Amino acid sequence: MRVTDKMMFDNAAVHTAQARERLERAVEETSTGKRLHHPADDPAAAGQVSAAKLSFERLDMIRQNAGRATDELQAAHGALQSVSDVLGRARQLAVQLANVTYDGPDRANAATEIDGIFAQVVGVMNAQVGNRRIFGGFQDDAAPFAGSGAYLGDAGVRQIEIAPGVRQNVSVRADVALKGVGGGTDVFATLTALATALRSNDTAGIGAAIGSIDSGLAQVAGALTDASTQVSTLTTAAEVNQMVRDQVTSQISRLADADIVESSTKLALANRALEASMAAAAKGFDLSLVTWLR
Amino acid sequence: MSNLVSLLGNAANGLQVFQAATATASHNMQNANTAGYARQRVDITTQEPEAAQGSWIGRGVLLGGVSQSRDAFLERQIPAALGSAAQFAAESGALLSLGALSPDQVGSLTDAFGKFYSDLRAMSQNPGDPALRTALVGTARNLALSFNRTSTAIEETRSGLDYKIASDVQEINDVAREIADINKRITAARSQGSQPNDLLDQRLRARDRLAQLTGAVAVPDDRGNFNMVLQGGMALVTAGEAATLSTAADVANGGHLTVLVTRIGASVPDSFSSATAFGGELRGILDARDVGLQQALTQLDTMAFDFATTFNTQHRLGFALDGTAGGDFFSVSATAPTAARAIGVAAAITADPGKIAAAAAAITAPGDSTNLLSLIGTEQSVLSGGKDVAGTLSSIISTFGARARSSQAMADQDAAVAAHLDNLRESTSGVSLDEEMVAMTQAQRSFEAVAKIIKVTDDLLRVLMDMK
Repeated sequence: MRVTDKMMFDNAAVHTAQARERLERAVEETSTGKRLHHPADDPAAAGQVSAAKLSFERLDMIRQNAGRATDELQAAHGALQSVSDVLGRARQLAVQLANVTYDGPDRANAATEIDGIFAQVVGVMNAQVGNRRIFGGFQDDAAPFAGSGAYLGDAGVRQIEIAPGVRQNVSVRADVALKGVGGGTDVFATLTALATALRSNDTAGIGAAIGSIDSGLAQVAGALTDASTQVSTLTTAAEVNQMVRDQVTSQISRLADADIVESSTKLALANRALEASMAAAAKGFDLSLVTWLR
Repeated sequence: MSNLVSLLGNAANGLQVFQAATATASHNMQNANTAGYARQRVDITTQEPEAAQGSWIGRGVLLGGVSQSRDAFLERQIPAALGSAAQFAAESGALLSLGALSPDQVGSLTDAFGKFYSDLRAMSQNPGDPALRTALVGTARNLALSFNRTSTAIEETRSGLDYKIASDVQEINDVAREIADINKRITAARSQGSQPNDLLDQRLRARDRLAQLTGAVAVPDDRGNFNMVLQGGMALVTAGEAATLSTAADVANGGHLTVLVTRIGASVPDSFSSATAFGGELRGILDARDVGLQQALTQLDTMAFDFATTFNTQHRLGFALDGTAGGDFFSVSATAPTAARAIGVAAAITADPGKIAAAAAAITAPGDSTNLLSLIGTEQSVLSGGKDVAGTLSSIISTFGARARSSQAMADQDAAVAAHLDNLRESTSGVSLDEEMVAMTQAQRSFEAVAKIIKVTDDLLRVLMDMK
């Protein structure tokens, strides 16, 4: 092939520019650690990265939500455990003071303690986490129990999403556990009846209250189990989400991030290629008859 | 009959020939880097001999003419290759200039959707929390703004291409008129018996540029004119006449410019011209604007409309913090076109985040997130394209990326073909300084030899003159 001077100069310019462009790409990839800068770099991967990022955000927030809900459920569990404990004390007092060996003043004193237990249960059941009451159902912005023991909340059970389209209960129904809604025992009414029986020295009434307290304790135990099960489900869901989230993170990295070893190798090669291109071009420019025919 | 005086005349002729050879070598060397220049060669022929004393005596050299080195076969292939390379280079350049659909870009739709649904989920855990409600309104506005910005970026890229179209049309008209004008000058020069090599180079350069701009190919006629014909068959240049391109706003295409052709001999432009009538850079720009970018914009509008409609439908089924029925969450256009540009957060929601319809019942229940969970479910709702939010977004990004990558691959491939042909052309027609140095030295030696002949002849004449 006949080679002209213009070809030599043009080709040197083109080849050097191409080598410089490859070097620039290698520098960009190495310095940013990214291999996708435009959807055209890898259209399929760009689409997958978008979907994977949405998936990552979803899994991340589900994990965070599960964490917050777990905190609330653990607070609820603690509150219910306290209720169970004080109801146990009430039962103990009832069993003790149903005995004929105790007299009126003893029972009056016990009634005062039962009043304290009543107030304690109300206080515990009005517990809040952050700015919300955890036992009010959907009515979570005000104390769910009045001083009289009346329930001011509703029957709502809060839910969160633990997987796309899968919902999980994250609250227990205090109206069922404490007020016996749906055919159970009203713990507050039971405590009131017990205090009344104690004050009136009514051993039969005291004995009757023991059965009701047992029913109430069973209701609270059911709520405790419910809360524990929910925590367990959320923990499992959070672990699964964490695992999938890690997989998605590595998928995004695999699709969008540059392989540092490969990029560094590319960079070294591109650098060497540019040097070679410039050296070859410079060498070619020197060889001309114009230099020799003088 | 040959004599010493005619010898002098022959030698003088020879001097002129080798002077011309030196001048041509000089011309070649000076144009070694001129684009489109074809090296020229002095055609030296032997002067017819004359009879003398029963023999034929040579009379030296004659300048046969100055010709160009061109390969007609190559020259026929080059315009199509240039047109194709320019078409895909223009299209890929335009598509690659749009970064708004990159999933890695900060504030991209992918990020905005991710954060929006994240905040929706965060609020579902505590729907009565005013801070979470306010945060959701913020990310919803970001999502709407991201749609707005992406749509605007695509539309601005399309509008930018209108400027390029207008400037290309101007250049096309200039180059077409230049070719028509050169056709006339070449015809005139040839009618006077000369070969206008430099005009031929100039016309070839203009032909190549017109091919790059429009994909037009040259069809030479029997009088040596270049008639430039568009790929749709329409003549852009016929001998000394050129058609004229103009632009007009196309209402059906959002006011973007359409290219109209006023045919040779006509006084008004054709009412319509399709992008397929053209090739080259003009076609590449029109394809990028009306196919690649338009498709992305249409998909984006459809997604914005479908998403907002689906979300609003579910939102209207819920109830606000004060127990009132939910209204629209997003404000959006009545139909899909322009939806991405028009989408926003409904004024009622922006003014009062309590209006987010999280609850499922018409009572004041701040902890009720039943409808909010259904709103989260819209992330998996199938939109009109048969995919959910992530799938639709992924499809828009991939489709656009594939179009840009395909045009980039075609551009690279066609540029390589064009570069190869250009190299072959340069190999045939380009100037080698080595060759020209040799040719010039050769002409110099010949000139010196002929000058010696004159000296010798002069000496011989002096011998004769001195005879007494």
